[in-house]
Amino acid sequence: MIGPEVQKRISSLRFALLSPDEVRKMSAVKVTTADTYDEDGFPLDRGLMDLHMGVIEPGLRCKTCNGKVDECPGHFGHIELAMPVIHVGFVKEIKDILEATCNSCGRIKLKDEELEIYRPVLEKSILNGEESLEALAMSKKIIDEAAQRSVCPHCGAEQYKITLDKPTTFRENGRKLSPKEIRERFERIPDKDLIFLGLNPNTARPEWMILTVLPVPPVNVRPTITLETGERSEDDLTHKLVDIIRINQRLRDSKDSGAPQLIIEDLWELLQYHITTYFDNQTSGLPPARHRSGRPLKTIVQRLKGKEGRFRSNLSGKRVNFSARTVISPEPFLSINEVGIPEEAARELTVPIPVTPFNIEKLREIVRRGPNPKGEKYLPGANYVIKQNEKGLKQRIMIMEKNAEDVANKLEVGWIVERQMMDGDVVLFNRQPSLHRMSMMAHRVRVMKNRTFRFNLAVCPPYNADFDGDEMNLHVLQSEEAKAEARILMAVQEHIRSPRFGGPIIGGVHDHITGLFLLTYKNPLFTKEQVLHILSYVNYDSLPKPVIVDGKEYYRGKDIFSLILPKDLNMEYKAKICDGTGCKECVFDKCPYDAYVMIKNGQLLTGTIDEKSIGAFKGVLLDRISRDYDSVTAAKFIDNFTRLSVGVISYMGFTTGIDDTDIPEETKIQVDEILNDAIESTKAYIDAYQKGILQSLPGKSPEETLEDNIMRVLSDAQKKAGEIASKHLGMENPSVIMARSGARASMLNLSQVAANIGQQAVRGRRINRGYIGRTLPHFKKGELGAYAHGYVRSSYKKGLTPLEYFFHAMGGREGLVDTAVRTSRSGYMQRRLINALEDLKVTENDGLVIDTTDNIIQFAYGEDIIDPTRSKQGKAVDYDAVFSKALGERFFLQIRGGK
Amino acid sequence: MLTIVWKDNEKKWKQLIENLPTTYGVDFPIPEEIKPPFKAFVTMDGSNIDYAVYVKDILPKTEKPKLSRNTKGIQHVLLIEKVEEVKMHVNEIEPVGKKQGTKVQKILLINIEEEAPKIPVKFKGYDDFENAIIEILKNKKENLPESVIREIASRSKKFKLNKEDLEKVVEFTIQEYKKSSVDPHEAVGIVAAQSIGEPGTQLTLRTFHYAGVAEVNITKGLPRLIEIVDARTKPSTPTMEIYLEDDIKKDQEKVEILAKKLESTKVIDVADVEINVTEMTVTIVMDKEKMSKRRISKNQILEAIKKMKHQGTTLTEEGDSIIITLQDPSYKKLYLISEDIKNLLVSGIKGIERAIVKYEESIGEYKIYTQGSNLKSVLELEGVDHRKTYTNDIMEIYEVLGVEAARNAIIDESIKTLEEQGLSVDVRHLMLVADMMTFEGNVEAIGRHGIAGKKSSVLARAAFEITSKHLLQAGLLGESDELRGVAENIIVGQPITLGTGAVNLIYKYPEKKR
Repeated sequence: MIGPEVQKRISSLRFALLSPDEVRKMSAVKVTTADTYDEDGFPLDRGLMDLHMGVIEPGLRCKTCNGKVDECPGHFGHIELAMPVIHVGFVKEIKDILEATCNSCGRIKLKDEELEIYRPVLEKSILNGEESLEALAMSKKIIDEAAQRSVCPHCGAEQYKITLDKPTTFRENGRKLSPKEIRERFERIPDKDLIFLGLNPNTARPEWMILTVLPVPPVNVRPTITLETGERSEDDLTHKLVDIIRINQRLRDSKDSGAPQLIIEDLWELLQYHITTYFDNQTSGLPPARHRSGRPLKTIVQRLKGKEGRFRSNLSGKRVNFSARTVISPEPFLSINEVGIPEEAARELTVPIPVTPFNIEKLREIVRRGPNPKGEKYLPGANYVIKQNEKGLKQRIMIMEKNAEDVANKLEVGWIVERQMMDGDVVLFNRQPSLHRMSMMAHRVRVMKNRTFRFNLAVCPPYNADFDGDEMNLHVLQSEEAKAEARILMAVQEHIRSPRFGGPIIGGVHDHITGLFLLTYKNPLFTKEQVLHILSYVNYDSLPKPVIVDGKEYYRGKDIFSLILPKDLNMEYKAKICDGTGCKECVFDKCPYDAYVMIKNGQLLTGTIDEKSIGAFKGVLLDRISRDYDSVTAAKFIDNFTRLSVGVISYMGFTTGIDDTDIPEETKIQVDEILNDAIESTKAYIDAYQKGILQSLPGKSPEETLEDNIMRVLSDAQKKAGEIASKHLGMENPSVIMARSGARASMLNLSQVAANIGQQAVRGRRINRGYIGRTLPHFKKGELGAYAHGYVRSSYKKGLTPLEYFFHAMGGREGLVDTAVRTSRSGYMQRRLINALEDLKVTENDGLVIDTTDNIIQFAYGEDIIDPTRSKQGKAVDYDAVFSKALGERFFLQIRGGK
Repeated sequence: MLTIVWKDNEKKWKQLIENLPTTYGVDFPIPEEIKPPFKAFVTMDGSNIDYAVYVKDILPKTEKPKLSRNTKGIQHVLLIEKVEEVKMHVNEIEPVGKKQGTKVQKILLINIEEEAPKIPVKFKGYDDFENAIIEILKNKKENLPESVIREIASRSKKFKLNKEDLEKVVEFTIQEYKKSSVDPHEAVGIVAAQSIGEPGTQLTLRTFHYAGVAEVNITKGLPRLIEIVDARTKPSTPTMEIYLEDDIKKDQEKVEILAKKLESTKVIDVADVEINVTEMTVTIVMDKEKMSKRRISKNQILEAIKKMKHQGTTLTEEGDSIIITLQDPSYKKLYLISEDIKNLLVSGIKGIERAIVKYEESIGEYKIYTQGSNLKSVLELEGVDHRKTYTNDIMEIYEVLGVEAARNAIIDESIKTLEEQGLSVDVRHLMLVADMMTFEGNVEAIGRHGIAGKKSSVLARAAFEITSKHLLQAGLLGESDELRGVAENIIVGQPITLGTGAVNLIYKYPEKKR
C-alpha cells in the first residue's frame, strides 16, 4: 500500500481437464478409509480428514506443508476408483463423441478430406483461443454429420446406434455400454482428431471425461463444524465422499473375490450414483442424495450455481470491513457533501494513518487518547497501531486505556495508526437497491451525537431515500488512492446532474420548494428583524437594499433570494405555477400571476421560485447553475437555498389540515349536480345498450363501447367537479400552495379530498370481478350501473360508504401487487442489461465505443461524443444559454416578442 | 432485366481493363430493348462468366473505338465504365427463349434480376447562415456536428444576427460543445444499463387500451421494454400504422375498402364448421350476414377450400353450406380437416387480425391501424405508402428492411415506451443498447441466449447464468480467460479495466538515499 511496490496483475487464466495422472500427481494422500476422526477426535490416517490435506483445527500442523491453520492453503487427496465412472458434467459430450467416432478404430467417421477443410479454422479458434463459439458450432456440425454414417470410412466397421438413458447409462443397439468400454473406445481416438470434436488436444483427452481417479478436495474446502455441544458435524461434501469411498471399497472387494457379475454391476451403478450426485445433486432423473435429516445435500455444482453460489455471492461481491449500517434521518444544516455519523460508529471505524516525521506528534496525542476518549466534545482516538519490525513483518497492537500512553511514546515513523473517524474523512454512503451510480456517493464525515446517519434532504432523490425507517450503509475508505478517487469522482457535488437525462437529480424537495415559494411569490415584504432571522442560517455578504414603504424599511423576498444567486446569471423562463390556461397571451415579465421568472445579473426581478426552478429533476435554474458553474458553486447554491428555505418556512410557519379542502355549501351542491348528471348519463348509455340501440364505436363491440362511454362520462365528471372545487381553493391555501408549487401532492389529490374520488379500476377497467355476474351480493346479477362496478362518488373528506371503501381497497391492492411484481422483473432486466453492456468503454482520443475484444460498437459515442451527464436534457449545447451570453438582453427581448 | 453475355478473348480483356474507362467496338447487334446504361457479362471459355461489364452508353458505330472485339464488322461502340470480376457459371443464368446448349457461342440474351435502384443519399444543402458558420469554424480550425450547426443557424436566422454576433455565438457554442464531451475510458455501457434499468421500477406493468376512438391493444411499460431487449420473434401485441398513398388517403371509403382487404378472414369468422358424425362429413354453414360485413363472397370460400391439400375429398354445394366428404372417412381425419378449414384464410393478409381506419387530424389524412403485423405483405399492397408505414415488430423490420432499420426500430420503440410513462432517458443510452444488440449484423437478445452467452470471458459467463456448463466446456476447449472485462477482474480481485482502472501509470521512485 505504501512504498514503491508495483502491483502485479494476473494476465490470464487457463482452463483444462484433469488427467488421472495429474490428479495423482497433485494428490497429497491416497484416501482409503471411509471415515473422518477416531474416538479421540484425531483425524484418521488415510481418512477424509487426513492431515496431509490441510488442517482446520488450531494447534495442528499440516503434514504436507507444515503450516498452521491460516498458513496452509490445503492440499488435494485422491481416491482410486475400482471401476471407471462417467462424469455427469460431460454426458452430452460423451454421447456426441461415441456417435461421431468409429467403434473399432476410433477415428471420426468422416473421410480425411472431409475433415481437413475444417482444420485451419478450428485450429485458429481452439488452439489460439480466438472465437471459441465459432469452434463449438463447427464441431457440432462435424459431429452431426459423422453420426449419420453407419459404416466407418476408415476401417469399414459397421456402426450402431447409441442411445442415452438419462442420466448416465449408454446403450449401443440396446446393449449396455459400460464406462470401461467407453473409456477404451475413447483411448483409441487419435490426438489429431480431437480438434474436430471440440476438444483441445493440449488440455483434454476424451477418456478423461470418464473418471478412474477422483480428486478429494482439501479439508478447508469442506470444514468440520463443531457445535457448542461439542458435537461434530461434517460438511455435505465429506458425507458424499464417505459414501463414495465406502461403495468403492465394496466394489473392489467384490471384484477381487470374484463375486457374480450382477452384484458387481449393482455396486458399480451405485458408485456411479454417488459420484454423479457428488458433482451435481440436481441431475434430472436422479433422486437427490439427502442428509440424514432429509435435506438434499449441497454438492459441488450447487455450491457454485445461482445467486447464493460461489460466483455471484462470494466472487462477484464480497463482505467488507470498515462498514456501518443504521437508520437515516434528515439534517438540513449539513452540506450536501456531508454525512452525519453517530459517535459510536465513528469510534469503531478507523482510518489507517502512516506515521511520518510531520504528523508523529499529532498521532501520539491521538493514540494517547486511547480507544475511548472522555469529554463532552468528540475527539478521535485510535484503536490499533500497526508496528513494522526490521524484517518487514507487521504486528497489530490493540490500544487500550492501559497501554495507550505507552504505545504513544513508542510510536515511530513508518508505523501505521488506525485512527478513529473524525470530521472531514471521506466515506462512501449507499442505499440499496443500488440502481444507478448515484446510489453510492462519497461524503465528508461529520461526527454527531445520536445514533442515526444524517444528511441534507436535497440528497434524497439520488438515493431514493425517505426517513420512514430506511437504513443506509457506510464504508470508510482506507487507501490514499481510494480516497482521492472518491473525492474527485464520487463526491456528491459531482453527481448533481444525472447521466440518465442530463439534468439535476439533486435538488429541492417538499419544504424547500414551499419555503422559497413563500419567500418569492408576489414578493412579500419582511422587516429587518425577520430577514436577519431568516438569513441567520445562510452565508451571505451583505443585506440587500431595503425598500421604504410607509416610511418603514422593508426587505423584499425576491431580493433576499437573489443573495444566493451567482452574480452573472441571466435567464428567463416560466415557473411551475404558470399553467398556461386563463391567459389569452403571455405577457411575460408583467405576468399577473407572478409566474414569469426573470433573473438579471443574479437578481430575481419577477417570478416565483418553485419546483421548476430548484426541484430535483425539473429545476431549470439549478440545471443552469450546475452546468455553467463548477461543482463547488453548484453545491454551495444547493446548500444555501436549502438553508434559506428552511429559514423561511420555519420563521413564517406552514401547516396544512383537513379544513384546507373545505368548500362552500353551494359549491357542494354544484358538485352534486355534476355527479348526478354523470350518473344519469351512464344510465342513459346502459339503457341504450340494453335496448340494442347503442352506436358501436369503430372496431369495438357494443359491450366495449358501453364501458368506454361510462368510464369517459365518469372521469369527465370527476374532472369538472374537481375544477369547480379548486376554484374555491385559492393561492393562499397551504394545500394549494404545495400542489401548485410542485412541493407535494397534486390538484387531483385535492379534488379527490374535496369533491369526488371517482371510478376505481382493476387492470385498467371498471371492477368486474367477485361473484357470478356481479361484484358484490348487494347488486343484482348483470347490473351495469356505475355503483355496481366500483364508482366512488364520495370524497375522502366526506368518507366512503362500505361498498365504496371495498372497491377502493381493490384498486389500492392492485397497485401494491403491481409494485411487488415489478421490482423483481425490472431487477432482472437491469441485471441482464448490465451484464451485456458492462465492458463497454469510450476510447481515449476518438470517442469510439469498444468492448473487451476491441470490437467497435459505436464509431462515435451517442453519435456526437457527448456525455449525457453534461448535456442539456440530452442536447449537446444549451442554445438558450449560448445565445443569451452572446446577445445579452437582446436575446430576451426577442423571446418576449422582439420588441 | 434483359441483358447479354458475350464470348471474348482473354488477352484483349486484360488490355481493356487496364485502360478503363474506354470505348469498345462489338461485332454483334445489341437488341433495342437494352438501353444504356446497362450491365452485361463476358465469358472467356463460354461456360464460366468472368466479368460484369458496366456499359455507360452505346455510341454510334461511326465513332472509332479504342479497342474492339473484332476488327471487322463493328456494329456498336460501347462506352465501358467499369469491369468487375464475377464468378458465375452459365447454368446459373436464365437465357431468354429456347435454351441454346450449355455454352455461349458468341452472344446470349439473358434475364437478370433487376438491380435495386441506388437510392441517392439525401443531403440537405447548407444555406447562407449555415455556410457562414462553417466558414467561421474553418477559420477557427474547429468542428461541430451537423445538427448543432443547423440548430444555431436556424436560431441565428430568427435573431437576424450580423456577422460579429454570429462569430460570438459560434465561439460560445464551441466552448459549450467541448465542455460536454465524454471522458476517455468512461464506462458508458454501465451508465446506459443503469439509466434504462433504474426507471424500470417506475414503469407500469399493465397493457391497456388507447384512449380515443381507434383502439388497438398495445403492450406498454415494463413488459414492452423487456420484450424489446429480449428481441422476441413476435411481440405480444404486434401492430402496424399504415400510411396511404396520396390518391386514397383522403377518401374514407377507399381506405375502408383497403382496410377490409387487410383484415384476415378465416372460414370460422364467416361460417360454422361442423362435423356430421352420422354422415361422416364436414359441413360448412355460411353466415350470410357476417360474410357481407366482411365483403366475402361464397366463391372466395369455395376457392380457398379447393386449394387445400387434403387428399380424397370431394366438395358438394348445398344452398348455403358446403359439404365435404371423404373417401375413407375416420373421425380423426374429419376432425383434422375441420380444424384446418376453420383456420383457413379466405381473404386478407396473414397475421393481421383487425384493421381500423382512423382520421388523423394532425396530418389531415386517413391511416389504418392494425392488430397483428405483416410488414412484407402490407408493403407490397397497392395504395400503401411504403415509406412511412410502420410496425412495432422489430424482428419483422429486421427481416424486411435489414439491421440498420432494426437498430432504429429498437431505439424508437424503447423511446416511445419510456416517454409514454413520462420518463426521460437520454437517447444515447438507448442507442448504445440498440447498437450492442445489432453490431454483429443480426438482432441479438440481451441475456443468456444473446450477448451475455457470447462473451469471450469464461468467468463472466459463469458468473451470469448456467455456471457449471460454462466451466466444464471451458475445460474441454482449453479456453483461456484474458481478464479484460469487468466481471472477471472483480472475480479474481483486480482493478477493472474501465475508468481510472484503464490507465496504467507507474511512478518510478528515485533511488533511496540513505
